[in-house]
Amino acid sequence: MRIGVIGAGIMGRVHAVALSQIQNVQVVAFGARYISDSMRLFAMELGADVLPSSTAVLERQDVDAVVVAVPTDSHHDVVVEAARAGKHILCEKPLARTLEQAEAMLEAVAEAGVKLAVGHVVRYFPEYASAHDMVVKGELGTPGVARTTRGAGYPRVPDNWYADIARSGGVVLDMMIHDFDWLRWTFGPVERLHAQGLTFRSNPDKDGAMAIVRFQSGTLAYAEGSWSYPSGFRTTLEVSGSAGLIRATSAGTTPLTFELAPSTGAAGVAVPTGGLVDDPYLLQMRDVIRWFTGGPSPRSSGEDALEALRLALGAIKSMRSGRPMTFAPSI
Amino acid sequence: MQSSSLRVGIVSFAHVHAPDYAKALREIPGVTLTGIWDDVVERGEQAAAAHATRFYPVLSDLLDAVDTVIVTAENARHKVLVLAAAAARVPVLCEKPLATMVDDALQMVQACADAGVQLGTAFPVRYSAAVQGLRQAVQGGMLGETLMIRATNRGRFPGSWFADPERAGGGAVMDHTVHVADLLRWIWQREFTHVYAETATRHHPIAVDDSALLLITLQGGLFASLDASWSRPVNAFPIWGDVTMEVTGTTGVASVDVFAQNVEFFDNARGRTEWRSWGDNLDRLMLEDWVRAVRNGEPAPISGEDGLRAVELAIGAYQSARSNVPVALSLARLDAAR
Repeated sequence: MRIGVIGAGIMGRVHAVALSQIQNVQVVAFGARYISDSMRLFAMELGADVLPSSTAVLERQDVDAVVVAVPTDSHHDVVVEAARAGKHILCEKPLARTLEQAEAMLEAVAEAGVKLAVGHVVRYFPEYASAHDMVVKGELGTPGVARTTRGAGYPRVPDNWYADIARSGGVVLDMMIHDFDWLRWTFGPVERLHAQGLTFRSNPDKDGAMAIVRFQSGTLAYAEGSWSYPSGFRTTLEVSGSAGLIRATSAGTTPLTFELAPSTGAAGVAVPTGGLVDDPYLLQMRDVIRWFTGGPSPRSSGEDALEALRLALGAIKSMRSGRPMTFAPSI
Repeated sequence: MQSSSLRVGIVSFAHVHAPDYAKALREIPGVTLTGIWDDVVERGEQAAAAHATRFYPVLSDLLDAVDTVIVTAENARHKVLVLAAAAARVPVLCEKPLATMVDDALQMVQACADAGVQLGTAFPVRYSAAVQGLRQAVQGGMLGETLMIRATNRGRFPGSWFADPERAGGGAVMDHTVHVADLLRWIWQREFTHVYAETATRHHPIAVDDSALLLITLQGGLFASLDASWSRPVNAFPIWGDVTMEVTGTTGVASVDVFAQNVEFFDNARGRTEWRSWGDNLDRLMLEDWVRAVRNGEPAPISGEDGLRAVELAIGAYQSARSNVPVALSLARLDAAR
């Protein structure tokens, strides 16, 4: 299978690395308006062409599927264009910047008869997958309170698009949406959600938010995202229940760490890495490629991504209005 | 109160903290644990024997014999016992929560003010060196302007009357909101304006909430989350619970884990892990400060009003949990109960 990668930022590279580790899969082209020298070199190593636009990639007849790793507000246009070009698609999360965009994307994909996967990769992080399985199997009894936190440094990228809430959706759409997706996957539909956050009142590089979620099942959850951790990615996960408590934190479970002399290099987009032979991005990509080639569907669907987006946008709305958001029973 | 030894009485051993207080009092130089009163005679007699002191079957006899009392009764009975101490003009340190209703707390504050005796609320966490270090950092500007706060005060389900809505006045929210509430007010020197809460009963077959998540807003729009759940497994968790705060400011993040100082004991015989604290005894630090204030006739280090404000937050949280919307908190006026 031949893949085009649209977007040559950090996530474009992460997905290309995963693709390069899968047999019978080849990255044949990158499409990006801007590409760094190191990415250009990496493309050369992969034997991939570097093209100036998404359209140039989608016009290529030898491209069977594309990875969309462009800024959030461009997901819609690129995915719709890719669907019309008959390509299967793995789109980075969040699916889109708005619900309208996301719904239009799902429609375009259905109309074109192509497959759309969305990079809710946390479902492939082994600790999150294990915790999900333990809850679903009932090992915790009745789930009581789930807690997720996700912290990293502010993602500094060349055109600084994360700083524009209208483009990125801030920390809620970048970080918390991972946990909203995991929580919904694990505990089912949400009844109500209330959030407080800094999205509309702090510098974008200090964005942070906290949400309280009540699921229709009666389980409660607390979710938090923050860009105030410049020293690196950190996550915590906890679920209590009538039969016990599970906890999984990134601190103390990193089997290889370094403490290096301070450098002045600016951090880009923080991506949690290390300590596994098959990293979560590779696990996700294997599932996605298998699905594209006729296998079973991956752990999250386009509809799941739409619902995660609905919760995340609900959190933004709630923090803006100061009121909780109530969700329809069908969700 | 000029005698060389300050005479202290403990009123009721219903609360789990009473034995800790008795033990700490006996360690403090210049303090005598004069006696214990309890409406449950057997419990009172046993406690008196265990702590080498006298059991007083009649409360007024104990009040006549001491310089101060500590009330460690069930939450809902704090009021009547504090009023009795006020009537006897005995300074009183009351276990948290100060009361189960705002009006009760107000009456207690007012009665002690009228009687001219100190009323203190037992918030020992203020005496944590880590908490004091955080307060200094925040007030000294080390974190810049505080943007948001994540707090937890989770615990094991304490059992017994804590699950009785009448005697406890609620569940996890009533038990575990007030410590962090007090820290927020004390560190940031602001009052609460709003609270939102979701509560549920998920861990235990009980008649009160054991799951409690709060979003708290303080003056100036500063917000904090609090997990007040009884969500630590009673048998398997290595320690009673926690008090933690993570503070995000414009120039950095501070983390406090008040009860992080433990020796980890992998107990093979019992097949479980236990965390044995080597941290400061916060109860003792609190009691030392209390007896100092009583001896010197100084204001209560942590006042009845501090207790009242924390109760207002807990009551507001229950209102929010019922109405599913944020509740605006109006601070009860301290002269309103006259």
